[in-house]
Amino acid sequence: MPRCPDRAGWLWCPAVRGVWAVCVLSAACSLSKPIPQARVRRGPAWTAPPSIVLALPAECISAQGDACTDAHRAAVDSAARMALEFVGYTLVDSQTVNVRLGERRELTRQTGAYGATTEQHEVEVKRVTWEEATLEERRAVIGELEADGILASAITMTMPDLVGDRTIEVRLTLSRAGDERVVWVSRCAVETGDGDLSTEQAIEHATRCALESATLVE
Amino acid sequence: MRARSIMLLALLLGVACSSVELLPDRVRVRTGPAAGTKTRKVVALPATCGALSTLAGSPSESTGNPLTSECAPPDVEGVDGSVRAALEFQGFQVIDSEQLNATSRERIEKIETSRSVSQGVRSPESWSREVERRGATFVEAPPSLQRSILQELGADGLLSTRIWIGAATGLSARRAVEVQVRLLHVPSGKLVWARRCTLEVGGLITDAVAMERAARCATRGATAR
Repeated sequence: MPRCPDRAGWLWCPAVRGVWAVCVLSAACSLSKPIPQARVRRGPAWTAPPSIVLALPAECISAQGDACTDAHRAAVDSAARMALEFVGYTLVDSQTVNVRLGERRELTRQTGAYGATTEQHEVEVKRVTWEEATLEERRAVIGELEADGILASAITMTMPDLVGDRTIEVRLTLSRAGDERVVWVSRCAVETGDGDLSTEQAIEHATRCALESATLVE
Repeated sequence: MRARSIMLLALLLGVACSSVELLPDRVRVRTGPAAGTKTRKVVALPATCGALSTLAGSPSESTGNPLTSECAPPDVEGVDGSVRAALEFQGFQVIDSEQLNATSRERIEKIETSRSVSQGVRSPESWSREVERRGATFVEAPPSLQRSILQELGADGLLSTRIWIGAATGLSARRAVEVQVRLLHVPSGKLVWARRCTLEVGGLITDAVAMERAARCATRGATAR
């Protein structure tokens, strides 16, 4: 192993040359995240958009079991419905639609002893919503609501790579209720990673990006 | 001398950090095709909420990721109360859908009192009261029954509220909080107006406080016809 000279020329001695090579090679690798890009596709029912839309709960497609939580789904649902309602659609949440008459049981328990009072309140609701309904019941509900559109949303999370980065995509699909023909589909993917965007921030960016693209083309 | 230089450097860095400043409150209003129609008697549905703000320092056991908080029911009820109170003040007659019975509800009330006497000394009386109500309200009714209730009531508006809390960024947990209130004209099913307020909050402001502020901001200026 050749030794490095003390002063002049130490920059090019074999040991330091190796460091230079690593620097040049790593500089060539792009570490920057790709810019989120929305893709919107108009479907065959584009010319006849629905007015009353039944919004289905967001589904989550993830290779890692618990990466996607109920809160993620609820947040995408809320943001999508809010934005579409604001641009003029009448949205009906499938989670709040009752297929049959439900039942509510409210229990209030008060106890008092030695001058102190405690109160406990309990609410139990039994309902059959869209998710629990049969195909026939779902068809009947759509008819009863006079809904002519269906909004479906999905969050897709890839497996994290070696440095923990993963791609999160939010996809929104508006289709007609009668013939299931697509009005528009909008999707947007955002990359997450340690020290950069968190999963929640990436979901927010992807949702906003997919929504703005969908509502801007209206 | 060195301390002064460090302080100056810290000050410069602080000034350069523009993210400390929060965006001003934004209100957006959309008037719909039923904007000119009479809507005074309004049935208010419970608010729905979605949140991406994370609970700092409580990572998930399996993934190690921070847990995402869900909207707490009392906070959502607080927004409902705030929106309804504001609209009532503006001239609307607001009916809570949770208090609107779809069927007559059964009420069972049980009161128990007890007192013990030992060696001729009476202990203070202890009591318990249990009230149970069973039945269905407007919220548990299917769409056809809801429609007939609205008709019977003579309601001309249906009010819905949506809440959204964005993901927290940075040490101050800076996040966007949105509340959207929508009024539909019941007979035609058309939009009267939709009002949305977006706030950016951070620091010590909790989700509950931000939601309440956004609700007040969204309902400002909504008057009954």
